[in-house]
Amino acid sequence: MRENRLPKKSLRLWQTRCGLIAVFPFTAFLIGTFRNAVCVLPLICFFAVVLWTAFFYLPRYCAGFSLEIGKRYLLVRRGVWFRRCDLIPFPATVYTAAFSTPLARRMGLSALSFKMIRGWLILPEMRRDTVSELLTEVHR
Amino acid sequence: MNRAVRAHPIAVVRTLEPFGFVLLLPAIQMLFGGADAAFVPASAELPLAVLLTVWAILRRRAFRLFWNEREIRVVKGVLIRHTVRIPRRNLSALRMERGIADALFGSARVILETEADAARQVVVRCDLRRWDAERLSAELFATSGKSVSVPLKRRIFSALATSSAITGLTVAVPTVRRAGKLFGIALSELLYSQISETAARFNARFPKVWNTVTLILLLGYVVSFAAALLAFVRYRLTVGRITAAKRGFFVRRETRLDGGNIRAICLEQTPFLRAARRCFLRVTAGSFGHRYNLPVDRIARQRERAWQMGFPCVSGVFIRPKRDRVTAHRFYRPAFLWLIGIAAEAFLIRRKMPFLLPVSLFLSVPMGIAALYYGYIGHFNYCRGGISFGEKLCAVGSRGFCFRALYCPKHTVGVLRFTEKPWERRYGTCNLKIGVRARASVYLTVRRIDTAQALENAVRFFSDE
Repeated sequence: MRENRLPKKSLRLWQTRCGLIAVFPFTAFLIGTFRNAVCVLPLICFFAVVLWTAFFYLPRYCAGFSLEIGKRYLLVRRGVWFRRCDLIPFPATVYTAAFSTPLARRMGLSALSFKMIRGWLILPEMRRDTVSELLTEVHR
Repeated sequence: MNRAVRAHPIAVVRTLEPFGFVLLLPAIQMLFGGADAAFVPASAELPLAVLLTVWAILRRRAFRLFWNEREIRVVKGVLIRHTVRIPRRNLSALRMERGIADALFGSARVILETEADAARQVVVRCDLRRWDAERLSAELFATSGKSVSVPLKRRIFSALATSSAITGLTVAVPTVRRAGKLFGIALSELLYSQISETAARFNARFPKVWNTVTLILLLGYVVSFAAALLAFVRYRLTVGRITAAKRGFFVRRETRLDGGNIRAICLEQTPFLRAARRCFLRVTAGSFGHRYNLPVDRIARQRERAWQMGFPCVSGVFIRPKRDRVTAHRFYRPAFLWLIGIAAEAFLIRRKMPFLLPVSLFLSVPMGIAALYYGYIGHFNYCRGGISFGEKLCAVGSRGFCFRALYCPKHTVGVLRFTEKPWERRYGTCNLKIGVRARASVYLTVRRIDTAQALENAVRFFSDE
């Protein structure tokens, strides 16, 4: 049995995504603040939420995430408050797909999705070599 | 030996069915001269209708179905000829449906299913002559077991247990609307005013609108019960290597599938059945996981049937919910607090605002009863719930308001999901959701079991050969 954790790059990728997503609403709130002082409160709240997600939630999520590859199963642990642990036997997966966004590709990361007979399981970005190892293991 | 059949002439009508009201009916009206000015079709519609009819006839004539010991071959298409070859071992089920029109013209709709992905699962859907369909069904899926008929009392009981007001309304409302449109009258408005009038006659303490809602729900339940009873009227089940289930009254359905490969067995009790000490037996069988229900019966008899099918086999350690003082006494607490709240609220409202009392009680009492029942489910999970990872997986738990016991072999387990909530982490317990690999959804949640022990057993269960 081998255990894999998310690399630091993955955390940085998600923090960057969080920052990029926040740019447009943040700009809108900022323009709103210049026009009407009432917008200061939502701006502060939004800023606090973004900071909390990037520097509190995401590091804890990444630290709590682990992937164990057994002989005939895959064990995925994740979650911050509601800790979830999915045990998937290899025959239960119909097919697997690796995919990556341009930003993730630049960082040498790739995400993985498992199609099961009833439902999906999407794993966050991991190193490409880990992903290819995992794919070989599942389809052996 | 090769056998061949052709499509029944009703296939022409079935092909033209979607164009009936928009194209064919105006064209026929115009041909026979009784057409209203509004119905007279444009000059392009009549040739189009003729063309469609010719195409439907040619399509019916082009269809051929061949079968032998190894495979099934279907030839279809007018301009583009398709030949589909399906090895017989890939067939997962055969369904035969006979509606009122089929009964009149001696035809039957045959649907052949394979193990392919859901989008391409039905590979052949055709209208054959009745005896051809029966011969095909008998040769592809020949039943050998004993056919079981169900006494009327049990059929009524099954219909009562499976009916619900919501299901009834889901069926009845579109039907009433469609019938109203067809006859050109506001049928739904007429019915609603009739229900409102009847509701106003009841001398109740509650407002009139509550009576109307209750009456609509009761009517929904009656419709659902009637539909369920009609479905169970002809119910016959043959369990063996090939399993066959016959049901339906207006539309008679027969499903035949490979019953040797049982994927899961589920004993299920709704609140009503729990009170009557009876249960359903849901069997998920066949290579693709078709589900069929054995009608309601005593728990002991259903267990005996499950034994005959090779289940249940509790051979490992039965992991039960973790027992501690906090867990043992907390189930009924919210319900009792709620009931005390209702009593206090009723007392205060009666003194200060007596006119609000009926509405308040109407809303609070059902919610209090629901909370009490939820407490009972928690108590059941605590006393009876558990999971065993032995030779086969056996689990007892609940799903929604229903109680379930699930038995399945190792190779059919889809996913095991352990969820540890923040307030459960202190006790090291979790909820375990088990999903079975089948087309029909078969799930069960076992609550408050020891996380470490369950996870260790589950990993060993999948690691062993």
